[in-house]
Amino acid sequence: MMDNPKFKSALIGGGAFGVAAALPYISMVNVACCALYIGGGVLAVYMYVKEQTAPLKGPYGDGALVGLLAGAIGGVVTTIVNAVVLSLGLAPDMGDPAEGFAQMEQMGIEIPPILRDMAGADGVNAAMLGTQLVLNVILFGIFATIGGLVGIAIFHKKDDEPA
Amino acid sequence: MTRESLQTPYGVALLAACFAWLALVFAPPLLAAAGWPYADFVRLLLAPVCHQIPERSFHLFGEPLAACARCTGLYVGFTLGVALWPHVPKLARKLAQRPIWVAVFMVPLLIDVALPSTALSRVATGLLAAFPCALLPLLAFAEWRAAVVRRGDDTG
Repeated sequence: MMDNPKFKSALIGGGAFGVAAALPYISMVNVACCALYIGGGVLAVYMYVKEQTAPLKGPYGDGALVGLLAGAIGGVVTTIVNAVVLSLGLAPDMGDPAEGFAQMEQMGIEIPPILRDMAGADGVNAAMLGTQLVLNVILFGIFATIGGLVGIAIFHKKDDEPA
Repeated sequence: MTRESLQTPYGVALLAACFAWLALVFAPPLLAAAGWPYADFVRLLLAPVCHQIPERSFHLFGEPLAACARCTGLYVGFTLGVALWPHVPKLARKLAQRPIWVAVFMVPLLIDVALPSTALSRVATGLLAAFPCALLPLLAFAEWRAAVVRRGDDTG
């Protein structure tokens, strides 16, 4: 599988931006139009196009696929690195979740029981990890696919263009 | 490039997904107005991809949307693009010949991020950046469909 240029490029793009999206403070870049997720797709496609010696036959299809792969890999990497960061206590102190919930209830916001269960356990728990994994893979997948398509629009050289 | 080549079943599915995404953006204030107790938790789904600062978001029934003005502009622009590009094939062909312009249309958004901005400038630059971008998945779908047709011709 590592010989497949699509997978190799996706691994680099998704891996690099997946780690960045899980790190405290750096991950906040993502709230600016999902810049890290989109960046993962763009980087993956840049690596893919750079390796190609001949013009691509289906550039947009390839770009979407490489971006989607990078997103899926990035989502998994983000979840794993985030779990490691949390379990090592390296995440910024966000305060006691119970206090946060009490404040929200005072503001008239009801808290679903599942969220209480997820926040109740210290550090990392399976329910939280599972939810994060699904959300990260879906969101990273969507935005990295768009990133992959934008990457193709920027980096792909057509037949008549000089390399 | 023809209208038919850009109108694929995948494109229709993408348009449906875009409307579902927009529904998530508009859902919290609408659900809150309907008295649904967990309306705010729909926001959690979009929290990883938007800061959701109320002062930077549009409001409906006194409640902020689940995405900021810039992200709302991006999502609406992308949805409009997916819906409208198949109806302007000549323009789509021009953009497909010079796809780098998709990135050029993102420059105003980047400038708007860096400089002091207003709600109007955020939503306008978001729309401008996302509308051309929506052509790219339609081109990918057109390629996939052409590949399927070619394979069918080869085997048939």
